[in-house]
Amino acid sequence: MTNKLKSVFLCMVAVVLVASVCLTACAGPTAPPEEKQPLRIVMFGDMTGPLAPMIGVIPLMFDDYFNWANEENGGINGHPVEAVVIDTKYDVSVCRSAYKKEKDAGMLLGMCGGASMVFMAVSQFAAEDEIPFVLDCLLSEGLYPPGWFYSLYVPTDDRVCGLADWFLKDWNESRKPRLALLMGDYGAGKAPSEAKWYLEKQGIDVVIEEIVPLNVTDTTDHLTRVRDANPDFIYDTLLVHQQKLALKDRVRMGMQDIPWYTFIVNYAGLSSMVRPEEYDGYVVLAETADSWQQDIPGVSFIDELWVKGGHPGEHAPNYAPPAHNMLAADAIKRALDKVGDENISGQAIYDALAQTKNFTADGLLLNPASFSKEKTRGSDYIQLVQLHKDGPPTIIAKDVPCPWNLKLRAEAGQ
Amino acid sequence: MAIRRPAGIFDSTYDKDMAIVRTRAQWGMLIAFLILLCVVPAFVSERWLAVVSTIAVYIIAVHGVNVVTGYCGQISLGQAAFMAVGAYSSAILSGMFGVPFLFCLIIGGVAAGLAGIIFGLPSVRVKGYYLAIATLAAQFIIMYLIIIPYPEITGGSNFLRVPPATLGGITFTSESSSYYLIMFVAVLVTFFVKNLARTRVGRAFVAIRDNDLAAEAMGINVFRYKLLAFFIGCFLAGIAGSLWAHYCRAISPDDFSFMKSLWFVGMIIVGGMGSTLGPILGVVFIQILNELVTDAGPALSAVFPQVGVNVTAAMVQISFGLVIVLFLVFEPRGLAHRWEIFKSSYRLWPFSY
Repeated sequence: MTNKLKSVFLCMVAVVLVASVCLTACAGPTAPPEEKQPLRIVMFGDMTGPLAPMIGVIPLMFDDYFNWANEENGGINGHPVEAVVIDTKYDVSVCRSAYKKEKDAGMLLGMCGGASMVFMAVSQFAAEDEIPFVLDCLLSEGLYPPGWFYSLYVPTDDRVCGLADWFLKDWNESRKPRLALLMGDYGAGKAPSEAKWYLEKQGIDVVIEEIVPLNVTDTTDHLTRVRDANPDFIYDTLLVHQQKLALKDRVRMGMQDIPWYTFIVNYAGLSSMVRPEEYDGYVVLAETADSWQQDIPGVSFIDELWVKGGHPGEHAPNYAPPAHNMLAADAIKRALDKVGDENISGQAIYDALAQTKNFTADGLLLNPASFSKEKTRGSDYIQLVQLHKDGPPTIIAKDVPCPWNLKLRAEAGQ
Repeated sequence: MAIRRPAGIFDSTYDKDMAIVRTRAQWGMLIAFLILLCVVPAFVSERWLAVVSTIAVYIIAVHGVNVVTGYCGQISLGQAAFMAVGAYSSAILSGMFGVPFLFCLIIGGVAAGLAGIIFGLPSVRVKGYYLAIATLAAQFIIMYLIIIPYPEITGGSNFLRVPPATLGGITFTSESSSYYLIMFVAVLVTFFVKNLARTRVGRAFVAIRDNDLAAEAMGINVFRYKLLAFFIGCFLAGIAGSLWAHYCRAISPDDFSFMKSLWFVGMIIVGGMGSTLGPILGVVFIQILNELVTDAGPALSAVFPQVGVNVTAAMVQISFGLVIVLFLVFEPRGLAHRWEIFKSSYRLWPFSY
């Protein structure tokens, strides 16, 4: 290479270098993509303890849902979700101290996973600390008087009120109908006792209140007492392992002719554990869809999440917890849209929850839910779904309204 | 107690022999400890203050189990239910009738003590497993009575709201004010139980525990003292229940479960039966461990997200159980015994004999 060519080449290199330095300088600093502040949502649920076999799936579904939200959507409005699961072990003291810790850690929204203990431990603080809660349990006391707790569920005592009104519509005999309450031994399970005043006011005789222990291995003695009370219909709040025993004993004791209603059912779980002739005729008071309704987009989506989470079975055991997760995500999104990324707070989420209207959770809710600050119970209706031995379940009554027991009771001065 | 002291150190008067706090150094440590209890709220977060308050309530209840089981040798599996009697009595009296807190506290204790006498009656005839079953019945009968017959009074299966404790114009609503109230009662109860063990009554309890036939032969009224042990043990449970109700300001039957009764027994086994220090160490050990495993679950999930929250929750619970099992294998006489060994070694150091 001649000296002249060398000079030209060096000049060109110099020009390129200077140009690139100038361009880089003009472009400004190349900061890494801005990471938005994480949103801390805490699930207080029983993963161990006496209720864990029945409600331990709720924290699992919470974890699955927000993992999916982080992976697929980058969180909520670009904010990663810190989804924290606290194992509360059905223990008030653990709930209380965990709540205090999470409050200090910047919890924006709390979720109660199935057990009433959390509500009991934190009910006095939530409004004071401005931390809203989504109650993923059927606890009527959590919703009335209205406060910072919202739920899509119709509580167990409200359900029996709705059932009673529906049952009375076709009652033609001159005597009062006789109702037996067969209740699981846990907070919301025993709550139908609280509706006795309403049932009696409506003209129903509650002839027996039977409490079935959580660790029951045989329900014969309970059903014997129920049968001896000669009820016209039975309402139970039994959990799936209790339902399994009771349905078997029902057939063995020849009680299939008594109409029998239950507060909730895990259809996939029950139908895999109980013979079809044992659950034949059993009626579920449902406000959320179930695994037999695969045509509902929310159901197939939740089943996909369940399988992806590596849990046993191809169907999720319950579709109400995901609906509550969706409600939480939806409220946070609307709060972020309204107040902006920097001003997100518990108060903003509380306001967004209160402004929820016609929420369907991708069809998981059979009737759309709406809230206000005075109405923290989202669903007002249930559907009566009957199970059959030789075919899929059928809906025997749609849009059965459920009175708000505690509110009516307070208004009646009871 | 004049054992395990270096040679040449002995008591020269009966007062010295009976003293709980024996030396100036011990007085200094006691005063320092009480000052430490007073300044705790200034240094710990609300979360740990809640933990300490819970520990103090449980210490009172477990002192009750210790009186019945540790001192008198009568097994009791219904302590949580007796705590419920105190809690509900106090809640109903203060909430419905506006009775002042101090009276509620005492009446709650007395009501639980009387319930304890009723369910302690079988102890006159039966012992061991049979008595365990009789006291187990207390757990279920009392909870049934709270839930079913009078829900309009007790709240049934739902929550019963309880007003905060008020004393001398002070309303104990904040975490720190509640802490002072609960801790004061816990210290008082500990002092009472420590002295009870040194009285004629306490010695009668121990005699019955060691051999009830021999105790009767020596002129101890076994019937009376067994029932007295049940009364005192359940009275303390009632006091704990009353404090718990006014601290939580909402109670429900689910908070006084059979599991809690079992844990109370577990706490004195871990701490050491038949000593005043045992319940304190047992409750502190179990509750702190419980808090740590509660924290460990989310921490493990954050580090190993692929493992799944159910697995981490199970793992920490297994480790909780393992710690307790290992502890019972290697120190079956409880933490209090280990503490005694430590103190003796310290006093005699560097001469181990």
